[in-house]
Amino acid sequence: MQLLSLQFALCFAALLALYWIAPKKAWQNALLLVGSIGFIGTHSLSAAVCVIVSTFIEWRLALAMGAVTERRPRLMVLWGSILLNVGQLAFFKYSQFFLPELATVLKPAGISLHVMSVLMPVGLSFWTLQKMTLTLDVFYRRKPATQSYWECLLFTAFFPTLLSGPIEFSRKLLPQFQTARTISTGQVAEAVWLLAMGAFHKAVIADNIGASVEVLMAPGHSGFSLLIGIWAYAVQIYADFAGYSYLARGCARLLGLDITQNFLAPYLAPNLSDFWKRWHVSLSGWLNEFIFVPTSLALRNWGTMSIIAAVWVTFLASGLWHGTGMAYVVWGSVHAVGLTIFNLTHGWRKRVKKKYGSAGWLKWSAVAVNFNWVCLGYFFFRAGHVGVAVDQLRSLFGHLDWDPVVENWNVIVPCTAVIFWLQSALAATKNEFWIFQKPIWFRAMAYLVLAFLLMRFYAPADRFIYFQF
Amino acid sequence: MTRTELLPKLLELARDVIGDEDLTFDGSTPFETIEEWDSMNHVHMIVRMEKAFGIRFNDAARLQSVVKVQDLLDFIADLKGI
Repeated sequence: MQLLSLQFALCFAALLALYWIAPKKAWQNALLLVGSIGFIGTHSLSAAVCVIVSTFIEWRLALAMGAVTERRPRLMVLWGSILLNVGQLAFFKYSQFFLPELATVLKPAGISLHVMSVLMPVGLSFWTLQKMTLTLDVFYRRKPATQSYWECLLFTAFFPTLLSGPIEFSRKLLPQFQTARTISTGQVAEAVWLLAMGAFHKAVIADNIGASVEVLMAPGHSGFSLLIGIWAYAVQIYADFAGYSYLARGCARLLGLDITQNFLAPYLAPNLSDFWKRWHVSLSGWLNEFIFVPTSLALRNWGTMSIIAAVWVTFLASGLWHGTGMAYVVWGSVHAVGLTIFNLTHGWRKRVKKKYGSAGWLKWSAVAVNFNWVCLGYFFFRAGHVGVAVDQLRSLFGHLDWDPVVENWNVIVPCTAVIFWLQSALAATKNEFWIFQKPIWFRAMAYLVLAFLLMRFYAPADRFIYFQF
Repeated sequence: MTRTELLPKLLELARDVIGDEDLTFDGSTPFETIEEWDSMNHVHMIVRMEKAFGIRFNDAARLQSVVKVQDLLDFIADLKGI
């Protein structure tokens, strides 16, 4: 069941009605838990079992962590949690690759290995990281261990965030399950805005421009076609993923819960460091807090090299987390190279800033360079195969001539313009609810336009891109 | 060094690391509101503070829980015993 479907809308409406009729928060939590496990069950029963068992182990580890104060046993529990979770991710994400290879290697030795196909539980990458914060937040003394298993299970299985995040920290979301919830008309209005933006980003922008991307990046096209194609893909993947995050946040807000804003106008970032503060904020916050900062601090005697080493560790981990195969490692490496350059030019950038201040041309040049660097990574991210991406890059730089196949301007230009306009509005106001600062006639017009665009250009929703992770 | 001397010294270090002579903050400022205080500058700052104040931030859990400038000032004061 997808978030953007009639089936989900009907189930969610029924749950919402029961949820707000329920007299106590314990009943509300029970409804959410049943709804969440049922939601996973619509994808696969084995995934539901996996979430239930895996969360039980994590809950016991978090309790064990909370029960001791000495550093050594706490570290042992922490490493137990890390090994279990990384092992779980590696088994489900990589077994389909290494088990057939292993069977081939063992066959000449007379050992017959019966290879079963292992289906990855839905949203595994997302809920595993979210679940790990049950133990990590206790280790870093951000919160005490939660005594209730059912609350921990609800935290892991919470259906709006389960499939593609945002990845929540236990210290932020769990306390919300432990307090009575209320909802105001203002929150309902905000939720409706988030849901409308989510549907618009996914069904109008991402799925329409996605069809053009498929044409533009098909084999045999010129470098010019690939260049426009990868720019369009940047719009598609942003609209797709941000659309999901909007929908998840809108659903949570209707339940009286607040979850992380996952995107802050990322394509207007002037450098990669800033980009990662704006793109997939919940993942970069997780990686920053639990991989980058601990690694760089542990190596801080190395000087600047400590930061560069931590950047590489973080982005290689991010690449492996995203997908299976070398293409995602290369994608992570593209970002690591960019951030290495960013660090090594720290002194030079300080001098440039001192000389030119915040000149507009300098800022927009930096934004353009940064956007194209991100697009370079997208070649590998989209292709999923290093060879395909390298061939595309060869064509891009070898045949950068006009290609009449670029005929979808009527889709690409308005979609791109709308996305950059929305990002500019968000960056200028630093408020995703900027619409509520406008006069009522403007808001009414905005909703009418959104409704019209949804009815007129609604493309049959394909799966969300990040669903595969 | 007294507690009151910590804030001006911290500000001086931050201006140098971030490269902004006009940067200003006080004890109540959350780090997330200082635009260029990203995770990389955070690590640069920790290395510079350890040298400047002659301390070592060994308690990773406490370091991770620093949210406002005052949290950091208190941490430094505790390590220096002032």
